[in-house]
Amino acid sequence: MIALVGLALAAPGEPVDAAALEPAGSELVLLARGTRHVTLGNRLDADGVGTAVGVSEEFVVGGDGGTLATRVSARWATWKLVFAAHLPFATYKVPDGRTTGLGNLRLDAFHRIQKRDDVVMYGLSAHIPLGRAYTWTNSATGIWPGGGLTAVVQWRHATNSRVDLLARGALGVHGTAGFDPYPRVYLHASAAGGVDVPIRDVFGVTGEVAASVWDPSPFDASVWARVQPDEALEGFRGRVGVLLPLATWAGLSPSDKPAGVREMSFMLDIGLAL
Amino acid sequence: MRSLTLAILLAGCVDPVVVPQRIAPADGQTDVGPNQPLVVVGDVGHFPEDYPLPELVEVVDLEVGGIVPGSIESVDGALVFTPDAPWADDREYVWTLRDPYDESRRPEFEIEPSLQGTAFFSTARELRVIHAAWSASDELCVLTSQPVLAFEVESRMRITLDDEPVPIAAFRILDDAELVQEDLADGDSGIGGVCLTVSARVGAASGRIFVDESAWLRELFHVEPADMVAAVRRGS
Repeated sequence: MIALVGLALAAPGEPVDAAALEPAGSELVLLARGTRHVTLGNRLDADGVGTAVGVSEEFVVGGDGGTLATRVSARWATWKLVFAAHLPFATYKVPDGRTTGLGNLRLDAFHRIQKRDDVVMYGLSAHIPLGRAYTWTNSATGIWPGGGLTAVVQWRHATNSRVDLLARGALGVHGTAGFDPYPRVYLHASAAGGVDVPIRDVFGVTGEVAASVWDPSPFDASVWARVQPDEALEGFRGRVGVLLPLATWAGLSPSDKPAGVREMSFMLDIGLAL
Repeated sequence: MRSLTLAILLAGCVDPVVVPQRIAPADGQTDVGPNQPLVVVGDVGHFPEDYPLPELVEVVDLEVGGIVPGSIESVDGALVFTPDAPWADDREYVWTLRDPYDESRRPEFEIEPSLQGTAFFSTARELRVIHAAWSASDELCVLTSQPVLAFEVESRMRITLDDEPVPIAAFRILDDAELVQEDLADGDSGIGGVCLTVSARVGAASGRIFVDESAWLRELFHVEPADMVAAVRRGS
């Protein structure tokens, strides 16, 4: 997504890369690439400049589903620094019914570099267990109680068309209480790639494929459609998405389940760029 | 239960030997105590404290029918079923360990397929034959529903092979290690086993084992004592 943002987004006195400055008519316009909102894909992180808050819902439906995760997120990013916090809360099945619990607080601190056509972020992502919600959605580190530290690097490249290409790699080490199927300590490596396509500025689509180990969803594909009616409701973005856990369907999840299509995830997301 | 817990803890501290999964009481065991729990021994699964366990164990009272209410808990990786009320005296029960397959997105069990299924136990005090087979060394090995002592073999047990009475020339009693019951819960006396040396009709296809006035007719195959024990303990 390409957003045109006024010079006011640059913090006073903050150095701005000359490559990010483009003349637009008689006015100098700062072209801030990336989403101003708080989320981007399933594993791909938001990479724009600005302050945003949002709420995401992830429903895992089907016979092997039953977990609903709500995630509250906040993000503050300048041209050089990105800080974000995500707190998930889950309602899920237990043998005697349903229960609820907090997941792992995720805190991100990234360094951001923007050139004319590229945005690179790298930094650390920490997970801090806050609750006892022994379940998961489509990521190892989000809800199941466990802590860890992950090194992250992400890259966005704007092509000559309006399509942006995205890639993300991460490597971390995490620890849990060791209840099956989770290991007590595990390396979590993930790679994700995606495309982001704005449609008439108001709409847009983000697609993502991701592979990861150790993870209950080792390979999945997701697609998001968004509406961003800035003229009618400034700063608002609403999204719907679907995630297909392809490796889980193939029986490749570390959970002891045979192959079969018994679950998929639907996602809702609303956010406000301040 | 305390000795079982201690044994598992000690095993965990001293030597990381994986405790083979098995059931206690064994299939066919008698003289089960009124408060003796049903235990799936071994590293079946560790669970968060206070996590509600699924109803993996189902116990049926064969005399009155119906499910016996009780609670299940995870103790150091073992599964322990405790009835809400003591087992009735002189009563037969079956218990079934259910496949937890339908559980998803939650802490998981690792229950070997051999453990799943139904086993029998009784609070009656009589000694019964629960398994018999020829060993590789041509001993006729017999598993009994309670521990056997030497005098029981000498004074209470007799056999016929292919319907011919056969004298017992010698015998050896299987020890707790051979019966895989060195770490039983408090109140669980375990099963018994004896291997008999006979002077005639070695390898006979069928035999009757008499204990007092009761008799058990068995087809006799070649099965090693360890495999016989695994069969009644549901071990792999």
